Amino acid sequence: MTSDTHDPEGQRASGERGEQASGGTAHSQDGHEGAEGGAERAAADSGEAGEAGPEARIAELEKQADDLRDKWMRAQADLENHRRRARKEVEDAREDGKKRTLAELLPVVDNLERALEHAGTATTDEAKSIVDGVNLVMRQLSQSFDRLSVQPIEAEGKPFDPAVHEAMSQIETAEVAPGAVAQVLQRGYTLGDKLLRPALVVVAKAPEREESAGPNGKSPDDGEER
Amino acid sequence: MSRVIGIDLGTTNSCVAIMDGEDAVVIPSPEGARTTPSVVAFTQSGERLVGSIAKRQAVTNAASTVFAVKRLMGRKASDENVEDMAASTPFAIVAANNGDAHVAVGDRRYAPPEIASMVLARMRETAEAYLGESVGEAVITVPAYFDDAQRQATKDAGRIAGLDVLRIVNEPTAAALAYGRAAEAAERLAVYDLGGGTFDVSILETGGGVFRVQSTSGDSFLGGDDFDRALVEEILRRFGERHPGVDLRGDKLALQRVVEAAEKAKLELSSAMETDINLPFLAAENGAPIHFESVVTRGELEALVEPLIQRTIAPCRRALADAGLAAKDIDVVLLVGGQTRMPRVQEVVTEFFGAAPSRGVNPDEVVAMGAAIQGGVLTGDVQEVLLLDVTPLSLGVETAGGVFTPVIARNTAIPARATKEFSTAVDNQDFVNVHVLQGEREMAEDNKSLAHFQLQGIPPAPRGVPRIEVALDIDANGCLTVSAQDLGTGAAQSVEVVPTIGLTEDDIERIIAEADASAELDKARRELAEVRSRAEALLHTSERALEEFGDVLSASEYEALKADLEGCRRAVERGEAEAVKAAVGRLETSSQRIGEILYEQAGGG
Repeated sequence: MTSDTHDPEGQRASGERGEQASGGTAHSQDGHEGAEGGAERAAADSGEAGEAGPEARIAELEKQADDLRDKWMRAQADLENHRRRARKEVEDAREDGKKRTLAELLPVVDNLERALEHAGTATTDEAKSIVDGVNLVMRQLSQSFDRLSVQPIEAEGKPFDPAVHEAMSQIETAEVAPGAVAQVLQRGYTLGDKLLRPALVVVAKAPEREESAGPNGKSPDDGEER
Repeated sequence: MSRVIGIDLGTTNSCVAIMDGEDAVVIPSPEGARTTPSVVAFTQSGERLVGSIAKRQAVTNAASTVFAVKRLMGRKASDENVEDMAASTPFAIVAANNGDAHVAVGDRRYAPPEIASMVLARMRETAEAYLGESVGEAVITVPAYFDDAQRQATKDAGRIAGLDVLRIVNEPTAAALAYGRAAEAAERLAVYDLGGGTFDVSILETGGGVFRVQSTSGDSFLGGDDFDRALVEEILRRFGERHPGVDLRGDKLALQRVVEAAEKAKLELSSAMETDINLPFLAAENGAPIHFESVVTRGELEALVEPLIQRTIAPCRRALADAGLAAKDIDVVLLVGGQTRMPRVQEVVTEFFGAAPSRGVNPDEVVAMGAAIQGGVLTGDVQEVLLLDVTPLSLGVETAGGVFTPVIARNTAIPARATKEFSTAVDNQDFVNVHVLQGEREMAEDNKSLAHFQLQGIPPAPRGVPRIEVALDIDANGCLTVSAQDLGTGAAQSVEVVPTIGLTEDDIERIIAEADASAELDKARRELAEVRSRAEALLHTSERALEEFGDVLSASEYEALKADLEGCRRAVERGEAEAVKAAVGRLETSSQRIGEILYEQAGGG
């Protein structure tokens, strides 16, 4: 640093220059209180030593004060943001814990459903009664899901919506409109307004292949998926 | 004060981080994901989708779903890597007028930075949603081997996304920062980065405030996905042994369940010695359900993927050889990429380098965190690290015989200026061609051409006599100016190098304008969707209220409410946001009347 208007070197340097300058130093030391008056007086008597004089010191201190105020305001803002974020993080963490737990359980639910799909063939009374029981378990489960605000995603026949549906493949069919979900392979769920797991679906496309080949000369759905 | 975000713009996934006090933290997306697929899709209705949502619709819209665009950044369509990629992607890769590789979707062409900008914009939005304030500045990482054009393309992408890109940082350098390596200490680092789809190894040298990338090598088609596939194949093989008559490959859902089970088993085997693969009702044979259950041990998985792990060794050898080092010269090995969590990978790395790798930083997030730390350094929030930028590749000129003569060596800290004297190659030559190139190859034609110009008016003289000084000047932002001066006459000529590849200033301005326009369109669409769902909910409750409690209303109130209901329903059908909003307002007021009366009655009675 070459300029001697900056403390503490500045004060020391001017102090060596004699009375006038040391007077200036004194001013700048109590300059915290009498800044205004000090500045005028210093301007009047500091003469050529003015570069280290009170007005420079005042400017210096004002700058310091501004800097500190700026830092303080930023710290305040940071703190406020931090608080807000901390609250949100706690909420997110809670949500995330719920999401993880549920995501672990969903395959079990899938398999219970698969078991019931195969249960139609049950013939004996005993077997039928077990199937009835499992059906009740499923009902109980869906009530629990309700209370946890876990909702199954409607998919069958709906327009394909990648926000909640994941396309596994396409099928040519006239049964549903092109671009609609032709078949649900695995049920999806939402948790509140968030996606827990997308429904895995097969999407319908029009039976005749009118769409031209891809711009590469390839049909749009050959090649790798990603 | 706007904050600086750090973005790891990856081939398959991207990640964003920010400094929070002393620490770099990864910012999760509003859906809670810590990384976002680098996938962009354009739907038939003209909507643009980014991330998981784009990925989920890929099979229905393959020609308009763009992924791995990082592999196209700053490259010509004639580049062999690009040609390879074009052969396997379902979307079209075409040559732009200047020969750049562009992506064609429908009748629109996109420069790779444009697509990348959509991913970057998503990362910015993620950060803004988290911070609750706007974000304007970013540090973005690129592979260490990216040349000038690729870095420039990445910067352009940032600008289009509305970000001021303060610095482009090498991925291994970012990783080193996140691992807390100091640029002052004199160390040799190896960064072993085994990601989802690519493998990179870099040798870095630190000291004097600079991370110098000495060499890089890798395999752009080797990653954790290959490990998953190997385990999927094994599970299918085991299933096939037990049920030879059942083909799981034809059953999308069954296959998907096997893939998920394999991914999960792979993760579990990083901590457990064995895991159970349990897939009840996986398929059916003659109407009877088939359940699949099998145990996979860590040893079995290791045996399956050992050839893949060994494939990383040759690039490590090459990188060491290029840096002129032996494995024992490496002081520290840093692991990047999720697949490095696998204990066997760590063992192989330890065996090869003779040093145990550093751990403890999440290998999926370490690059983004390093970028955030670099951002902190630039804003002064992080003080301990001094970090200078270096030129990633040598810059020089073509000389007689097509030889490339470097003027500024790679890894020179910038800003930098260097000069070299040249002369004429034939007698009485009155001009010289200055051909500026970038690269490490000996012959000019193997390097990347940056600019051409001529210095004319050289006085007649025997060859070798004229003294021509060529000066290369790179400023702090990495922009190159080249000048040539005839030291005899003082005649000089200089050019600012504008890459012959990539986007022009006009292109960028145009794309930014388009991006703004489509952002507005997206916003309008979103608004409509929101107001529509509010309207639908209100219609539902109002109808119910009218049915159940309609009799408390006077005849005129009843009719007014019915009219508002009908008006709202029609507005929803027409789908104009403003009209729907107005109708919702009217319906809210008139339907509240029911509530008011009911409460009055309750209060009175």
